[in-house]
Amino acid sequence: FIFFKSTPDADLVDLVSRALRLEESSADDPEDQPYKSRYEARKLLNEAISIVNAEGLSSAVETKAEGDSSSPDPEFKSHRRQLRLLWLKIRLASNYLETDEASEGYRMLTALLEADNEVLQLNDGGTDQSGEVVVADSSSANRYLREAAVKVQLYNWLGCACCHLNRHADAIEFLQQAEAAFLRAKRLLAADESARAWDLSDLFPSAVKPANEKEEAASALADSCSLESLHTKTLFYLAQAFGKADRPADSARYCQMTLNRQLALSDYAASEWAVNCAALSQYYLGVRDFARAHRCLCAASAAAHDPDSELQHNRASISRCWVKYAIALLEYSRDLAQHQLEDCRSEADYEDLFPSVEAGHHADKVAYVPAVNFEQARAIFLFAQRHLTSAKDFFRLDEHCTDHAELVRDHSRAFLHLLQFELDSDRRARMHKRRADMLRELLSQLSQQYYLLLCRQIRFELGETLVDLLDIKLSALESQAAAGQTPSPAAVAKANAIGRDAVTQFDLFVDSFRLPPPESRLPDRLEALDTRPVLLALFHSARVSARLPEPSRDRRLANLRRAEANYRQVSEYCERVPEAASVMSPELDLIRDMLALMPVKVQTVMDKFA
Amino acid sequence: MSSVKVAVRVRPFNSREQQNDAKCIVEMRDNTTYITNTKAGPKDQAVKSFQFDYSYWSMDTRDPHFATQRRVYEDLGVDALEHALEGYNVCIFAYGQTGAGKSYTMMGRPSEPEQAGIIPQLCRNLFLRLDGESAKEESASPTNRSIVEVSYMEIYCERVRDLLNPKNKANLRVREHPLLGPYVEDLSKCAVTNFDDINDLIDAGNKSRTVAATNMNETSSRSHAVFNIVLTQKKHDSATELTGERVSKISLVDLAGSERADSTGAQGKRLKEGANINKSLTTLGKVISGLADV
Repeated sequence: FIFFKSTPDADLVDLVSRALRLEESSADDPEDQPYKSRYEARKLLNEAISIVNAEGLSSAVETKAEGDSSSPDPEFKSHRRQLRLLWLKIRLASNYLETDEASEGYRMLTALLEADNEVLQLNDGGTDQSGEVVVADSSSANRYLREAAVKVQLYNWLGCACCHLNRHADAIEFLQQAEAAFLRAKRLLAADESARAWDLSDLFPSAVKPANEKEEAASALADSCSLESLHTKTLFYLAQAFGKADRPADSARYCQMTLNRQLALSDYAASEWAVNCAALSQYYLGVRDFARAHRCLCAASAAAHDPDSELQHNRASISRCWVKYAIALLEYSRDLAQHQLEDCRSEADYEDLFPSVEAGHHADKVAYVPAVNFEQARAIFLFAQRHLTSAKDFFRLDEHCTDHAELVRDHSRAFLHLLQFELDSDRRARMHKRRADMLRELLSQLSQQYYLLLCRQIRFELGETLVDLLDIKLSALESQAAAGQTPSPAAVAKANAIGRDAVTQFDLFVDSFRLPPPESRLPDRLEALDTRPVLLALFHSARVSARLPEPSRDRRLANLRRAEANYRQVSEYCERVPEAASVMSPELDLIRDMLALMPVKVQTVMDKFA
Repeated sequence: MSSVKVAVRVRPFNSREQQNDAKCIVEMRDNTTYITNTKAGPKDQAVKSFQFDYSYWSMDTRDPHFATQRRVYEDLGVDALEHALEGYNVCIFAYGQTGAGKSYTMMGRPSEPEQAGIIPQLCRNLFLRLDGESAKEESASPTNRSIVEVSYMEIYCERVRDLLNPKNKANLRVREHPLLGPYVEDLSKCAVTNFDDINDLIDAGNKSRTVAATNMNETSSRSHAVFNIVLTQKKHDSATELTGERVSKISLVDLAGSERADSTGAQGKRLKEGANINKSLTTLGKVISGLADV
């Protein structure tokens, strides 16, 4: 189209161009003048506004006086002027938002909404029965398409402003209006191949691409003001607004839409996209939506399927997400089995969140429905194991210590959930042993000084694993005794060795909380979060000690004394510290009973070995 | 001995505050700091008091209870050095807004010895002690000598830079070794034998901090500076003919300004972070991670 290039217009474009660039460079402002560029940009925007206003007055006079047909369609010119004015005012308002004057910015934006603004057609001509916007004719459609970007821009900024003022519900409404405006524009574009939506370069030609500037920088600026990229922002802002409004499910949905959008516009770095997609699966795991989590992970794996070595870290991260997925699914399966419930979701719930990504080879390698028997659980477990191996390959102990440790713990956890489905006690024992071995190996490799918290967690889990293993061994011995058989000394020795190891682990755990020498005792008051673990460790240590089938009387008596001492320690601590009593309430009754029974136990041992 | 000590210090008005006719609302008596809320309503408590291990009044040199650089060192640095010599690790953090005086307290003014901060004073005294001890040793063999190694790094936007080797533009990786703990890969560790050596390194490091800041338009207020001294003391026991080693680490940290940095979201005061929408899609990952935490 031909536009009337007058001196004010060139000035205007120059002002806009400079203002845009100033705002772009505001990150470089000195720290004692952080808004320097933005304040300058503000001045330029105000100047630009006065030029456009002046233009408006003079052309109003012109039109009345002349009805000039040599210049472009006056209605077109007037529409463009109104849009320019609107765009500049929105930009100015956003400037206030970015310089910590949120209320002022918000006030300006709402003023634009309320102004008697024929431009904005905010009532959009009504809808027909199907909800489709009725557009009278192609000239209305064109008008709408010229305004679309500015409208979306306005609603986007209103959304940001409201969030800033902690009015999240309002923010969501505005952003949804932005979304609706975009979708209407898209429908109009679809209806007419020759139609085009305006962007910044239509309003201010060459503001975005001045001759002397580098192509890349210019096109980046242009892109950021186009209708399509504004919509991407709408989706992203909605994801955030829903998050702040405590609507995580909606937030997740919009994160997923943003991800899809990035794919559609080819506007993403593959590795980052894949990692983000995998991360989204973790949210769905949290709400036990395995189908959606599965879909995210499949898409992530497919996107990261590139032998490029730089992506190793990302592939390892995605593997880690798969591991968490498998463990969560196993745990859920176990919960259902224990409570004899059924998962009522069906195949139909598996929607394709990322239709443009090929499902790839992962879709059939692991389920997204819970396992109901050992075979199914084992399949999930093996899948997890493959990813564990792959992830551990990257997250090696000597470089990524905590990541590696987390993976080992996940491996142990995977075994734990799997063995809930295993009925044969020998096989269960073997799985517990695998767990114990890997946890013990990890512990031996870590510095207790630098990884204190991690060591404590591992050691406690090791203790629990050994207790589980001991339980199996002891019940085997007991059933042998009940059947009239004498248990083999080797079996008894084995059980005792496991038990003593368990006691050692729990004791070492408690030791890690002791004050440094010379005091070397537990502090009078433990930290709140440490209380239950420490007292529980004392409790477990006591219980195991009391149960050990030691063949010697003296050993048994010593064990009972040790158990008693531990029980008393816990009991006394709970008396002294009431919060501890409430935290240990499930175990306290048992402790009281144990202490009461102690004399009987001692007598039993005396009698047995008499 | 309590393992954590907290000290607070107040500086004189700067020129801008003087121009604006600022009023001092802080008072200190003994180790208590009192802050007056000038906007307190009639029912509110106008003056609030805060207990610290030390409250340093450095507002006006004319005041009798003015706390000098020397005094701050005597209270905080002397003990820290003592513990380090005994084999403990010690750490001193300076925390506060940009312009609050953190660098002054930690480093001081290099050109004026009376205004030396904690770091130079500590280094000077470290060498006095080590030299003094080796002088006492009857058979001062080389194996008895203590080794002092320093490193100086800057952390900005989760990137680590080696201030003692500014030519190494690369971002240093932080790795975790299972036995040695977390460490910064390829961080220069310079052995120093006297105070002047260390002083030169500190100067060089400080300068490259500023240079780095100008080049990338960062300012020193947005980065953390960590100055580490690793002290390896060797003690020869003539009875057993064995030489023992005692290693301790002194970490002196000048933290970045605690105020909100800028609107691009590089840092964020926690209150602001909650309200603001991140404009850049590069933060999509953060938004998604935030979901999983809910």
